[in-house]
Amino acid sequence: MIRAAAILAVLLALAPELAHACAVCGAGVDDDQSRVAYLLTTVSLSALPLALFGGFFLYLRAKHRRQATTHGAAGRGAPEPK
Amino acid sequence: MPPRRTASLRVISDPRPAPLVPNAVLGMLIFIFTEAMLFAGLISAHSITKASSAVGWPPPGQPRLPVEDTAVNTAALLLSGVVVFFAQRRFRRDRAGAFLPLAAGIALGAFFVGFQGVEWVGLIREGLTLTSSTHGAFFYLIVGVHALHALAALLALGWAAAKLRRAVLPPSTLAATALFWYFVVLVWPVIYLRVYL
Repeated sequence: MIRAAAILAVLLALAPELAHACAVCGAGVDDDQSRVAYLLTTVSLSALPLALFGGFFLYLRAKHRRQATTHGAAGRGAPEPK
Repeated sequence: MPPRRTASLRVISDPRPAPLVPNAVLGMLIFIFTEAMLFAGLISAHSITKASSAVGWPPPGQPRLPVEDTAVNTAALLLSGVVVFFAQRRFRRDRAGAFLPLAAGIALGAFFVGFQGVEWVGLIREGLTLTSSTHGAFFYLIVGVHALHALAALLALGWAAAKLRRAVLPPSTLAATALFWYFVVLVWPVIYLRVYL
């Protein structure tokens, strides 16, 4: 495994253009429009899972509080056991 | 006559509190979260390719997308989401009365998918295919994935409507299927803005 990784590293060092083979990694990095696109997509892809789970957590917390308040009010309104 | 034997009956109430979210809805939410990331990935890849295009977007020689026709179709899909929302609200008060708005929502959704099929036939005839350009590849991939989701959600809503007709539809099932439809409805305007405009 280590030998294979070493051979791969040597090959990449000898033929560095292979490292740029990714179709999007090096594309248009010099112009502003694609830089902004990279930035916006990075931000949206990073923030989306946090927003989804964060929103769900806040919804659960609000619902739990509402449920607790309703049950508390119902408990206080109930007649005392004899 | 032998004496009657009686057994005492003990009623055990479930000590656990009622769940905040039904299991069906929770499962659907987790599924929707993963699907939201799928669409976010596709739209991100499209945005970067569009911004990095050296020849402009859409590429020269490729047909333009039918923006105005799709705007009408988008309105139909949004309306379908509103109608399903009203069906869900109606279900809480009057279960049988929810069938008609639910069926109307499904019909509007089916109109959306059918209209897209017609649009695709026209675009293929004009020369926009999966292999004609990156533009075509992204268009059919993103819109196609959305159409598959719309079809699946319509099937789920149809199944829920059939259960509603037989008066055996649990509220959590309707909530989960409607949630899936809301996702399909709400992700579409983002696709429309990013891919069509």
